[in-house]
Amino acid sequence: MTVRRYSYHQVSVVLLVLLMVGMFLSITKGPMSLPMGQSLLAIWDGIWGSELNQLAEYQQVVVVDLRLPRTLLAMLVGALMAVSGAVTQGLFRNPLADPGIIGISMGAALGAAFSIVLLPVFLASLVTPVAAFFGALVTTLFMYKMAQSPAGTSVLILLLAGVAMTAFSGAIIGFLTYIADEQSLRDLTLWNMGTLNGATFIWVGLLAITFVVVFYFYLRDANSLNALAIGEPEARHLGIDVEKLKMRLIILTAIGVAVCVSATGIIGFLGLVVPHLVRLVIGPDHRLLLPLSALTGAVLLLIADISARLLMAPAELPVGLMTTLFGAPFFAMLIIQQRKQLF
Amino acid sequence: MKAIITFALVLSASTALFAQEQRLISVDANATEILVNFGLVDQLVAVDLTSQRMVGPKALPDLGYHRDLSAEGILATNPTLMIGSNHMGPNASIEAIKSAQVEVITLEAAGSTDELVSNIQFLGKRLNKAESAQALVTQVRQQNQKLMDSHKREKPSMVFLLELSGRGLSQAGVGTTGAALIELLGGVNANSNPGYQSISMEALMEINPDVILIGSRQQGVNAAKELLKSNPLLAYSDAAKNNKVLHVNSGVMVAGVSLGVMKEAVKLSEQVYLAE
Repeated sequence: MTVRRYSYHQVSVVLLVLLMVGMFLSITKGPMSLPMGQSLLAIWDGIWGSELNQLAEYQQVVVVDLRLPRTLLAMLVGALMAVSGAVTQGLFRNPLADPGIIGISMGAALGAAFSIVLLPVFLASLVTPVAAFFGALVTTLFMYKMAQSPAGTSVLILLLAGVAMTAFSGAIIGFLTYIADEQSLRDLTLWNMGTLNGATFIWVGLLAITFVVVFYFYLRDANSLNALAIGEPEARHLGIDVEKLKMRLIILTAIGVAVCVSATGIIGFLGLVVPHLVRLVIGPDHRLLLPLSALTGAVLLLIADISARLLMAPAELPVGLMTTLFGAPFFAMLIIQQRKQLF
Repeated sequence: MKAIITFALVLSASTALFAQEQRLISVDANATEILVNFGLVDQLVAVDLTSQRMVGPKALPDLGYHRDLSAEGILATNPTLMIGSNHMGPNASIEAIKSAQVEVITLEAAGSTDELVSNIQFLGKRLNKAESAQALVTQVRQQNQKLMDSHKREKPSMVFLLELSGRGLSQAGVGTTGAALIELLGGVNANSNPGYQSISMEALMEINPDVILIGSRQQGVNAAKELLKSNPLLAYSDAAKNNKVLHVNSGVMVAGVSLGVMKEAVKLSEQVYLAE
């Protein structure tokens, strides 16, 4: 195990401060310029039903009904995606794994493509999240079944099945793309880049419940994931039911990421890179890695969303584009910096 | 007498009300085109991506793609009225805009001349531009009459193609603006599948339509000439022999029947039914 460079407390304090700053900016900044103090008061009023702020009604709508749910959704999706990435990497004992590897993204994209291309516009906007959710869940469970043998769940078969499923789904999506009209094409492309535009409190509630449940079970398995890092036989010798662990974590991840994806479309990079960042700073212990990954994911998606909203105002960029655009070079830079330690 | 005075007062009051500066937003290219024809371009404060071309050199804030509107971005331009088609979204943004007390008008995307006329009349009434609306409606009806008059009993078969910048051709099927254009021209669309599909030169020769309409994304290019030049085989088709491979300004074909499509149809009709 690599030596920890910073203490858990130092890192969590820094991340919490960043999260606070991010929330503050996300609520006070946007295409519409509003006084900062009044915006915060509007939130206060929205929660407690008081009437302290002096904003016009439409400005209150902007702060309370647009910025607030969006801020919360960004944090929850960021946290859930990042922590699911950390768990997937631990489960597969492969630093290149992300939730996409068990077919989630492809399955979700397939479901969304069916809905966007084949259904009329007014139906598609309602059905797409549901279709994406079930697409993700069904694909993942199918792959999990495929990887089962009398000897247990084979991680290798799961990976290979993932390659096959990805190619197959890709072909079907290709066919749907081929028959799609221009509007569906554009909708599909945008969906694949992810956006937090259209966040509502309903989504926030759904994500909050999912996050609490999934994160609770993840944390319970943090020690088992640590044991798994040494090797599957070793984990068995330590008394861990590896089969059950795999099943539990795959299903939890599928549900968590599927909910994220149906809320926002596909937001790339977070699940893959955030756990790496955190591991470089704090080491591979899952008991620390999981909570810190969640925090880092929340901070990063929040910052990405603020820039997505501001850069091209009054229009906005897809946030998935921002996460990848800024995240990938940053990741490359970190790897180069850490090269000596890695080898 | 009293009633007349009251009526006059109400009328002038309401005119004064409407004469107030409105801050309009249009997120539908066809609606924007109508607004520009009403002479309301100065009251537009922002438009969507596809409307930019309609407002001419006047640079307006760009609201992006009309299916992915940012509610806050729109509210930041402080509009009083927003006009869009039934395709605009996402729903959460539209709902938020409505709850911020901005009036939102949702027009049906026009699939026929009648629907275009009803959109014009609706906007004319709402924006107090009844005269301009009437003039536009008369113009559209005249164009439509002209088109109908030119129709032949034996309908020519037609295809509408889009040039995919060097990656082949795409053929318009049922429900597309290309199909609507063919109907306006009194032709029969050779493609009965929905949406656009790519088509090979061989398949096109097999269809051998009476008229080939072709649009290109590149401006200032005669797509018909380019098509004939890059596909010598096409010279053997009936359409080419009769000089019926025609260039369409596809910039006007954004979504459904619009003022631009009507104008383009009248122009094309003359070429289609030119004495052979």
